[in-house]
Amino acid sequence: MHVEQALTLAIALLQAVERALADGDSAVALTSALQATDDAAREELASAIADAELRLADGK
Amino acid sequence: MKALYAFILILLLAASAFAAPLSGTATGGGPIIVGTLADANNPAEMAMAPEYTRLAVVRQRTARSLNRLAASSETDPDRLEAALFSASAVQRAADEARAKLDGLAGARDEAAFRFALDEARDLIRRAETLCDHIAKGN
Repeated sequence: MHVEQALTLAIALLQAVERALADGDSAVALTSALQATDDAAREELASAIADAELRLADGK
Repeated sequence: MKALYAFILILLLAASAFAAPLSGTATGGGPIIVGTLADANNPAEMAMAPEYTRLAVVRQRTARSLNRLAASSETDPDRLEAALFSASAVQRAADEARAKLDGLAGARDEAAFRFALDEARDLIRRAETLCDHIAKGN
């Protein structure tokens, strides 16, 4: 596992544990935490693609 | 980047110092957490967690590489166009893999689950290969 993947998983797990503690749940919702992380990453890549398209259009 | 990782690790270690005690009995101060271990574990969740993680990281790394190329005045348009094409392919493969992972909860049996998980992994691997090519300038 790449160190960046390990960090991402660790952070999502901590966030899920924090939420469980705050809600008084004994079960950690890790999947939904990771889905939220991927949703944010998707938006980040979509934004980068849009910016690159603009840059290309400006350069032509 | 290493300094950032070190900071995050310190943050994680410091967070564990404030961990709430897990106890089945009432205690003064701190949350009470009651639950059975047998009901709390989902093998499917543990199998899918690394794959969701890979998805997020491949998208993040692709975004960073693309931003770096787009922001650099030394990047020629052909290289940027190639990187853009690959980044779009990463997004599509990642979306397809994400749909398969999200649908795993509805798998009829273990064989169907394993088959769909392997399909998702193949798509993620494809996205990771494309991401690496962008980073290397291929």
